Amino acid sequence: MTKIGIVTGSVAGIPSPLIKEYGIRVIPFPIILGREALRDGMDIQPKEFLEKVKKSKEFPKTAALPIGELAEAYEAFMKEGKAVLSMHMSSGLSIATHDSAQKAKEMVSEVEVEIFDTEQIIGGIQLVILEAARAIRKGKSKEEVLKVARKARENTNLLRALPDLEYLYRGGRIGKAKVLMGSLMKVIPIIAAKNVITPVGKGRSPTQANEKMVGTIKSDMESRGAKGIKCIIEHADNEEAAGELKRMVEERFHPEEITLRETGCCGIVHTGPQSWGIAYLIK
Amino acid sequence: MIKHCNGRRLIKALSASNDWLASKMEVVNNLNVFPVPDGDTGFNMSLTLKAAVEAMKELKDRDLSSIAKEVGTSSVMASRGCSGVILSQFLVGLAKGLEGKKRVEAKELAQAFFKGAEAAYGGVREPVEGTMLTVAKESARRALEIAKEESDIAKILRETHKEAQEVLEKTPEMLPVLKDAGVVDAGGAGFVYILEGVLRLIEGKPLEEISKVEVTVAKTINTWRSILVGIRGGELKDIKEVETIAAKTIQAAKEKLSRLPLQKLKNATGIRRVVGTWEKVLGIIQKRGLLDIKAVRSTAQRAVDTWERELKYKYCTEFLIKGKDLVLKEIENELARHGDCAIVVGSSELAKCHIHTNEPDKVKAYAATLGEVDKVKIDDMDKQHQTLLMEKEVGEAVKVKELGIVAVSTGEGLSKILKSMGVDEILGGPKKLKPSVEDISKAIEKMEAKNVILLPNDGDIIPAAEKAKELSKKRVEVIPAKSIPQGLAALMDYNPEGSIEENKESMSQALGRIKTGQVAKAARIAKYKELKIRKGEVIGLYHKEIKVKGRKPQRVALDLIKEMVAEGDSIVTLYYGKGARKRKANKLLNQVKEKYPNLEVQLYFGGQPHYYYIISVE
Repeated sequence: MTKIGIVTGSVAGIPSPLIKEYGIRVIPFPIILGREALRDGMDIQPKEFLEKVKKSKEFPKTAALPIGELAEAYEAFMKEGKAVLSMHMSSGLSIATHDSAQKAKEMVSEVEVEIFDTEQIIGGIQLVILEAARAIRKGKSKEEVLKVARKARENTNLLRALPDLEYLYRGGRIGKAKVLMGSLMKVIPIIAAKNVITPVGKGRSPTQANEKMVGTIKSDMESRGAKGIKCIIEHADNEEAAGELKRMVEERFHPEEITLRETGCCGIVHTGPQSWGIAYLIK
Repeated sequence: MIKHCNGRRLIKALSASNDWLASKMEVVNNLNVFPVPDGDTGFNMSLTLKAAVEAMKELKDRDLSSIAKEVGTSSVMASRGCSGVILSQFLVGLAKGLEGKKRVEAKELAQAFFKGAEAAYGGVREPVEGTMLTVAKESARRALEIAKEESDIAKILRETHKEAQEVLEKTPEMLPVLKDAGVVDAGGAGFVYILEGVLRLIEGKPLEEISKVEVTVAKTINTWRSILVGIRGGELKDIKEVETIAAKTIQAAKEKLSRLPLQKLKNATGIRRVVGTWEKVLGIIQKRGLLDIKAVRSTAQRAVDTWERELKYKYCTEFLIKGKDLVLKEIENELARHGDCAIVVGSSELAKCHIHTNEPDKVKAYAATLGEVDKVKIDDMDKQHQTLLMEKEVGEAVKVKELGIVAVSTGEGLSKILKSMGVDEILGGPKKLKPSVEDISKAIEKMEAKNVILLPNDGDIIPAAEKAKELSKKRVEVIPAKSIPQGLAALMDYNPEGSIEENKESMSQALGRIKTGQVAKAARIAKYKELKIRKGEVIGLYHKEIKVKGRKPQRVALDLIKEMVAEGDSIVTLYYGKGARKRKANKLLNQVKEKYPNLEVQLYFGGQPHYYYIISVE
């Protein structure tokens, strides 16, 4: 049976111990700040990046995944005798990423590559990838791994509180969430991201925002008859709010797995400093 | 005199192009309106060239042929966006022209350049004139022509660049969308900068330049938009008035600039842009010889339209096909017959399909013949262009909405906050009486919305709101908010895209989450429970009961907050009214923050009469 290797983009923000553990190949997204082009996670780490963003007059942007690097990663797996599962962020929010993967696939037609749309962003991608990686480790066939990934995708959602909507707006991904803009009151908009960005509501304080997110998860779990959840809580320099969310989630849902981490640079580009949120997979 | 080009010189030349293009990236970005006005042409071209130049520098083999080949190959790998792909195709063609050569003289170089232009054409399915393609082709033609008699590469380059620049200036005549937006083609401009970089290198000019304040397309279009609004609103009746307004605006901005101290002058980009855009608009009006207001109006309309183009295909349609032996290319071709942006990715068992189309049903029916169709998503695409979104409201036409909100307010500050939270129509105000049933009914009928939500924001007004609901033929719901803070809490859960039922439910639930208090002056002597109140004393009310009293509003407010705050609360909001001073209010804000370091405390100007402060705790 063919072995399988996973390729993804750095936007998932998967921590390096996990990348090593599962042998995932991560392609860094190019980040452009002013005239500087930085490779996410290689030339720059989140803390340093947040400092740079603070100082810069310009808003950061991301560029498409380099096709050449994707193709190289595919080939590298082929040389190890593996087929490739190229798992990427929601094509609804970045068709360019899918395009890059597709073009890279065409470049190395001798490699067996399956491109998989996780329909997620940041931590949500990680949740779906880890489910697939575990299935691969268990020695499941490609079809079975894909089935696991599809199910994980179906059952994963992501909520994020964005104190500064400007970042999402600049990235051109605000979609319907634009209704959250322009209030005279200090509010923290909350969005859900799965294929599209939709507004979930607003909080007036981090605690209120957390309550809203927890409430949304609760009704989501109820409507799906959930047995449990796995989640990733992440933040861009807002450990306080994220920490509170973690405590609330632990208390109310007793998750099977829960981690707290920083959002990667690429994620920060689109969600902005001080944002935080949760990706959760319903079991 | 430069007689030949070798590997070393090509490296120098392309590095110079790269530096100069990078320095002009924003300029090129700002020209971008075609094919999609997303402002990234300069960015895409620059990154494509940059990757090629970096790869070329790392190459050990320095002969002309290998270097050119490396540039071609690596630019394709790194190419980004439409303009990046065209540029990379050009570089591939150039490399083909230089294949097997160690050094070339003028004629051969010109021939290679021409091959580049040909390859760029060949790489595009449907070439459009008035773009980088035209600029490359015409300048290549010119290069070939001069090289017949001239052997100095520098001279040929100078002429070629001049030709490229001239063709670029003509692009608006070839591509109407450019003319309407008042720009030259962005990709063409990028190509000119690439040639210019080499020329500057030869002439010993710097390859970096601090960009001047550029007149951006977005800002110019906004200026057109404001003219359009002025014409539609009847404020601008003839062309003289437009010119006067333009002249006045320019003069005012220039005066402002002249008054700025030197060190601030450097950063005054906003004001300079105002001057630049209005001068540009005025220039267009004069240059095109627009004679009357009608001509100005249609020019303005066309400029605005370039940014708000009607979408040819309205529905972004996506789905999965689960089947056997799916041929992705075949599916993509079939989809492409129904629209554009067809992308089909996946495997022979599972195809993810994406298409912009007007016939989502037909596309779906076709897909169903291939296998099981799943995860169908059909979106009516917003015709917004993200870059303009924020500045767009100005000219937006009034449309009949699904849902609108009428709210009652008592102060100007509160009205502004309510409006910013999504309220369409405000009733009442500091000097007005409480709105009657008739007032509310009128507001409901006047509103350009099919469904109306009422926020009475006062317990006494709820019955009138209910009566108005009964009288209206529209679908009306009353959210029984008894105070402004309750109304605002409800608005936190308002979703303008949701149904009136959903909103009624979520907004009503929000009411219970907030506690409201008021600080006011006692109008008369009173006795309330144990409290004896003298006229003129300040009282603190919580849920309409007098809880505290004192002489100073701030002190009473602090005591009242103490009564209101309980465990689990996270926010205290203070709205100061007409009777309270801003300075005192700020002092109170700091006192509350100090006393409750774990709570979020916010202060807003409410402008309400009677109450020094309206206070909410949630």
